[in-house]
Amino acid sequence: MSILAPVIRQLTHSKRGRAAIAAVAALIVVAVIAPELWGTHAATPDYTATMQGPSLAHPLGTDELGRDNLLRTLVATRLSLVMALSASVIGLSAGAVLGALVTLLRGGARRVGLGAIGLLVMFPSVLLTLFIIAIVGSGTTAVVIAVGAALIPEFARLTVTLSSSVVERDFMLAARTLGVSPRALLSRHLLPNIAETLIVQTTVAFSVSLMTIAALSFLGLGVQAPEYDWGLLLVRGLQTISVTPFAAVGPSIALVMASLVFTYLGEEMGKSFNPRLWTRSVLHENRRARAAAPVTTTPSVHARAVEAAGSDTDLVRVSGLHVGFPSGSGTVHPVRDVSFAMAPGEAVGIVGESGSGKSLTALAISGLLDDPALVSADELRVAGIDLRDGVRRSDRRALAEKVSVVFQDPAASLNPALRIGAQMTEEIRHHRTVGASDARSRAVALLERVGIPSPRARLSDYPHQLSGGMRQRVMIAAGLMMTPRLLIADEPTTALDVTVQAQVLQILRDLRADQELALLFISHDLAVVADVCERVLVMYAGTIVEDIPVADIVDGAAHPYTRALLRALPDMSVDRETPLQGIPGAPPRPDETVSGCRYAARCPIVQDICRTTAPPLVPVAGRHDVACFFPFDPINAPEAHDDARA
Amino acid sequence: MSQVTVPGVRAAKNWVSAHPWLAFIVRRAAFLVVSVLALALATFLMLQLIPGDPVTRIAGEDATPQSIEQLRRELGLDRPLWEQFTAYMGNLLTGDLGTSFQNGRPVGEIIADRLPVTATLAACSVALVLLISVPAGILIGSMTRGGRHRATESSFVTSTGIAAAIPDFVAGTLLALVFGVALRWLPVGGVGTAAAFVLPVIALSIRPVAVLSRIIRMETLNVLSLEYIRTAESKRLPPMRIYRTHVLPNVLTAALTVTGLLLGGLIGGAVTVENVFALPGLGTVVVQAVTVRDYPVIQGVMIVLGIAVLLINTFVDALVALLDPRSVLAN
Repeated sequence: MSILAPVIRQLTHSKRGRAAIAAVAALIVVAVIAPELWGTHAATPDYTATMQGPSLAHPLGTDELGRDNLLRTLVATRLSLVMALSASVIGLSAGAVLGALVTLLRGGARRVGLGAIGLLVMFPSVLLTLFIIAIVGSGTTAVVIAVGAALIPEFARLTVTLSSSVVERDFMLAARTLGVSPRALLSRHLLPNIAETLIVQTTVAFSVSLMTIAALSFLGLGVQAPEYDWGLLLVRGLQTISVTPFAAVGPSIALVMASLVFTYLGEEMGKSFNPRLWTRSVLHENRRARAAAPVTTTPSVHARAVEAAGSDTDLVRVSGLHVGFPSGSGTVHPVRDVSFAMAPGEAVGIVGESGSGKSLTALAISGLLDDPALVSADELRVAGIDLRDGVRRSDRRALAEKVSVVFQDPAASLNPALRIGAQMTEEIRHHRTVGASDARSRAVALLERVGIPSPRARLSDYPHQLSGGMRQRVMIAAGLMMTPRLLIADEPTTALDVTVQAQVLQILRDLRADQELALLFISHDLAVVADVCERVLVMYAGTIVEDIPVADIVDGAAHPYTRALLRALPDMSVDRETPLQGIPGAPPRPDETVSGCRYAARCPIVQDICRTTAPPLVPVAGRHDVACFFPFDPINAPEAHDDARA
Repeated sequence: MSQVTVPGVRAAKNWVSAHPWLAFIVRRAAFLVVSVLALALATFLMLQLIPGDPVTRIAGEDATPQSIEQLRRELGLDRPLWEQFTAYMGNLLTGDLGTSFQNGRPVGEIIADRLPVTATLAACSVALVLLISVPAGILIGSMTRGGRHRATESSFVTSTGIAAAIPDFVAGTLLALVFGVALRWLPVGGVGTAAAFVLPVIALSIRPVAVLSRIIRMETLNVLSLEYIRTAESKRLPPMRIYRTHVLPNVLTAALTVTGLLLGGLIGGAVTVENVFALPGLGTVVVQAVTVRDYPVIQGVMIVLGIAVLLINTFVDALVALLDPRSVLAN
């Protein structure tokens, strides 16, 4: 069983996995030794001690022939487990073969196969079992065959579903293009990828078999005396339960325990295969961390920038913002000490590579970060609303009136089950006393405003009926329903193709020209940001390294990272003979402690001080803010950075 | 994959994309018809599949050769297979399900007598299961969102795990013993009153409630992690409203999708539960028929329950399609 070995190795890595293995091993030991040790004793009648209650000699009492109930339960372990296991293996192997065959079929034959499997899955499996028993008869072997056969459809369906999804995946296509033979495809690529799920399903099938077999014994169609399994013991116990309840206790517990053990084993296997789905323990760490100590952070070195710009008219004021997430060894901070301010009507872009913390910063400013994120700030004020402790109930309406958010993926950001009209109008209908028809007229006007043809008809469409670009226009129009003062757009054009992206950017520019709408625009693309914004915040590894007007960026960018980004930017004027320059190295991970400048490791002009002291975000030459000890100065030392360009 | 462009195929494709709902109905109806035919064929073949001589098996071990031959003629098993099949299908189409070996009653009549009991049991259980699991699953899901209320989560997972591992005949017997025999609150056995259904319905519902509320909780957690929930939060709607308009419809669609399978499981469970409470439904009939090898009755019950399950699933599919038109329109 080459497939099982890695499964077990995976399981031994976790405490729960080892517990599951231990429980299964204990069941197997009982199944192996109990019939050898007590088989004869448990089968020998003792007419002097029938139907007794619990005693030292018989902890669970005796049955109608004076046999020990506990011993009989232990001895029955072997037959019960062997029957359930055999049935599961029949279901697994026949189902997997059938499913694989149907997967390999093409056209009409495939459709017939899928239909047949669908029909069989739909048919109640107990009836299917009874149907087969009616054909093959009752008794131990017949029951195993019938229960196993009734499991086949489910395994076949699972195999088809799993292998169809694997077949479509890139590595399978690649293998096929490379000319890998069908058999090798099946055994080397397909099987390992679906085996895990099939094995987990087998543990489920095992529990189901245990119970179905017991139910058949109850119906008189299963194991026949003198053989006995837990089901038969349980049935006898239930029949005499008004005389002595103890005969039913042993087999009930054994049946439920065995079923639980295998379900548990399946769950633990599932976790070790797919750890992403099981983040509970991490979240638990978070709660512990939060309970133990409030988030403590170093005093802000960037706060000065905000103070300097400080005025009560600012639309957004952020100072010393940290966003943390719990991890195994404490809290990691993907956003560290971010400070900036936005004036009403201003368009500010945040630029950075993925993982730079730009989206988290935007979410924190939207007040949408929730467990497990830990947000702390000296000041976090949006349109006069303090968001340091999350969104207070009393601030909901004010926030709805003033701030809207547009997300990256319009396909995922719209509720697939609701019509466009309902999704556009629910905000205004909830927060203001606006009638349905007024709200719809406003939605129509805004859809028209963002360039959607026949907008009234679109209101009764579902999101899936629109193209990606249309959906993002809908999102923007929905964001404008309340006439907000601030629109936060988190990579609103990243999921769109280039022409649609240009249209959406044009809409944003037009909107800004029309009304006093401030825009916080998040993007990884400096060119896009420069297109719609007046000011750019360049983020690197969780901090703002430069805060610069768009007009100055080409000639005046002072931070070596910003300058590297500019050099990596292709445009029409670039000499095609000169290769575009990437930035060697990678940013530090959020959990890495860097004592000095976080860019130091990649910086071409790094000095000793950069490795020990974090540079504050301060005005450079009275022009804009930059967090660098050696900012580029185009007037006095235009050559200073050009070693990096060579 | 090579795409063959036959004009007829393209026309059909155009038609399908022009009339998605009509195409959906045609597809489902065709599946239904083919399925019923397959069901009839399977029940017909049941006798043929019996290892050895089915007539000897039916007649029992101590039958004389004459009585065996007579039975063979009565059952028509001496005729060629295709003739048997056309006769069988002809009878089915006229609603004739044959007569019971045991008591000579028409199978159709027996089923008509017994079906209401099983149908009532299953319908009440489905209602109870949905009424408990959907709210419970959503509630626990929202409570345990993002790793909150760890104690609630683990006790929910443990208790539903144990409940799902208790065989329904054990639950049924214990319920009968406690509430029927010991406390005498509710009747055990018989169908004289509505009260007679209370314990069977509860016994039948325990496992499905455990399983479905787990599914609903996972589905709720899944929906809550989706981006459109964040969009709804960005509209600063109160949490209850977000649950009502954004979470519930999507979770309900998922719940409905598994309801078809749930009903199949419930009909299976009804077989054992009816036997615990001696309810005169199809479950008791079919088990008894299997025990005494009364094949016409087994065939009849399989066909009737099979068609019932098919119709219910078709109905559920149609309902899901109405609630979530993506599944139809995107096809």
